[in-house]
Amino acid sequence: MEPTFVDRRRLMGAALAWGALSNLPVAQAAELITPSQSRLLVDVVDAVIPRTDTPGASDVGVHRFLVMALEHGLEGSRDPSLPGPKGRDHLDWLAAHLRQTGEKDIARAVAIVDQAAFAAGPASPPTPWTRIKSLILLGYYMSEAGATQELRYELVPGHWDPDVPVSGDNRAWSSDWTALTFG
Amino acid sequence: MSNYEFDAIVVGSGITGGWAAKELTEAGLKVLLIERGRQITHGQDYATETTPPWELPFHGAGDAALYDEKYPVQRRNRAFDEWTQGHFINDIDNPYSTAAGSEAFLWLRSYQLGGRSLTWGRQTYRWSDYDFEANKRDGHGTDWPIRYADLAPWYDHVEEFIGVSGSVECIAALPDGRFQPPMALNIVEQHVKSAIEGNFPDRRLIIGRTANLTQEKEGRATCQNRNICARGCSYGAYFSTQSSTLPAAQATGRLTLVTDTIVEAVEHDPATGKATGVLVVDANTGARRRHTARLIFLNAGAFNSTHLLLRSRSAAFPNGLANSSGVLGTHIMDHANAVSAVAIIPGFDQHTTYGNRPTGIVIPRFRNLDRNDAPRFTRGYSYQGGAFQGGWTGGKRMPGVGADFKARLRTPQAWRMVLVTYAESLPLASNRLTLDPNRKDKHGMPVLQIAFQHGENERTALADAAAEAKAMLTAAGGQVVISITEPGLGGSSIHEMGGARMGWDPKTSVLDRFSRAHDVPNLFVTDGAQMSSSACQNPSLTYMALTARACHHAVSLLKQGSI
Repeated sequence: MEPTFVDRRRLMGAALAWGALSNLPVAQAAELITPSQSRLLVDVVDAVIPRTDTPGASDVGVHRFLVMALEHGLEGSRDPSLPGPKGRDHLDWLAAHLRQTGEKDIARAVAIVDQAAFAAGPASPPTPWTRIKSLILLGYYMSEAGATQELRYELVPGHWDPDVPVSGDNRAWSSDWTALTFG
Repeated sequence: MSNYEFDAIVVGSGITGGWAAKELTEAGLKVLLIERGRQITHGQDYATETTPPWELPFHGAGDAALYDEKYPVQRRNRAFDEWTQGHFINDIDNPYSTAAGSEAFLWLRSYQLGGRSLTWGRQTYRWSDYDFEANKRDGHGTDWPIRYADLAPWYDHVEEFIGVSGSVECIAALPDGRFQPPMALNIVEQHVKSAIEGNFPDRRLIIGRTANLTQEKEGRATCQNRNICARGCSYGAYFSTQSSTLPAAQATGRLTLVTDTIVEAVEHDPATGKATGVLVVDANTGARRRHTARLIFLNAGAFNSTHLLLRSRSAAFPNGLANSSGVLGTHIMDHANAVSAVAIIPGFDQHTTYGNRPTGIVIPRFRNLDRNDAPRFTRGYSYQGGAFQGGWTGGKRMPGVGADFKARLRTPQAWRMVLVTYAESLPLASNRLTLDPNRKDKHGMPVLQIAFQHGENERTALADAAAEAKAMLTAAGGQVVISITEPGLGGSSIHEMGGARMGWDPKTSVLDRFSRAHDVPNLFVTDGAQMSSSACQNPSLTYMALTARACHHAVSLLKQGSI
């Protein structure tokens, strides 16, 4: 799969599938974003999670997941009590802030936006970027490749070992629900 | 033999209703078990049990827009997610109100066969005489008409049947039970245990006692260490109505189960003084019908059983059935909880774990036991929690992007130790349930109105708990990163209890020492509604033991012909 190009037909297909799964009206889902927004999102999600020895974010469709997740208000992205853009308007916010960096290279622009969002420290309240970033991580690490290739997924561990010495492969468990809840 | 359809009617099929159905049918009674929610068949109806996150539209996080619209309260339950949402009610269809001037209350509910036994936290603790004597000692609430010795054999009986894994510890405030082998503390919890017990001689850190099997029982496999219990467990490895009590009741051939049926009122004959049966509403069609029985057990959950009594009004009981005292609905409680401390514990980077243990640790109550060592508040608190390594979700709060960031999230994050406090909730008359005078549900029944506020005692206890948690984790070499003293909203412990309290005096309590209504000799309430105090332990085991004891008593009264 070519990570930097999404053709309109494949995007439509994905949007239709999402629409069917999420009860969102299909016509609305198919019209959620423009091709240029989609191209930008491919670059943005890959800037956060690039392809390495395992697939990157756009390889597993995180750019599409992100749009639906914003549309459905995940991570408080539609919370009326929080300041900032709502739902899909996060994409306009993102495009504007990437432009404001003056960087043509999207990966560098994303790094600048990320730095700015965390400038006040990790405990600062969510910002539009931290919401977007959180959804990129959700889309990736809970995808099949993210959960099972980048991390490890075991639905039925079968036993509990309270002390395992760390060896070569110390990948985290995407199925460690306590870690995900409190981590 | 009689004109009654059944020997007993049990209202509600959750943790205590399943127990009542089992005990009464095994004693030879013909029992009708009524559940307001849908049928969920063990194993086959746990629809999302094995679904991987990538097959869910929102990867397990769920449709926030849907949750805002239909589950604004239920979504606050930590067990509520895209896998488990079907095991919780829809808030739109199941309204309640909060009294003017009261804080918001989170009434977290599961209306289905098995009720909250499918979604509970499974922590299983005995109460001690520090708890049963507490009301008498400090004068809050009414004296419990039972003591530990009354309940001890029933604790044995319940633990042996449901299967509880735990360690024998000889701690006076947290009596030992009939345990299956304990689950193990992880390497960091062992370290923190040593540090706490070495520095604070009055304190212990032990593995959480949990109703997850470490040895097989008939028809039930051992825990697979998945820790996704609330989806339903087709191994039957945790106690639920479906895995445990329902099959036992059904095996007698004397159980009739109806689902999708709401009990609107308990009917009462003023001539005999007894309850005669129940008026029910078909949840789907709204059709009304009645069922009759010689015995009525209410096991709908503390607030729903109280609600049912409040709306069972008659000329003889204009303020609700069994409410000659006027205390029905009062003295409701829910443990005040707070994340007292989270600390990063350095030095264990070369250690990890395998598997998802479905329990944590507990530090049993150490305050105000034999000495009044924390005089600024009465009673005590205990901690639950554990040590774990963070996962990729930590990346949400971490700066960084790109290959280095991805590499950083590939391995487990730092070890952390969490201590969450559950502080005893004092029984106050002002914390109470009433019928909302202005609002009815879709079946025309007045909705429940909740007035609840944590008091100064709970806040003071949580402040002490935070200070002590920080001291203990610091002694273990931890760097404290979070410490909260403000209690979570009422209801958030999901230990709501009281409303039909037990007591010696019919003038000041609803139930007698066998969970039987003082006013109505064949009516028993054996869920959380009966509680006269809250202790600081998880209450479900005590509800189950009280239920088994009440069933035994009811059957003996029936056999004597005295009811």
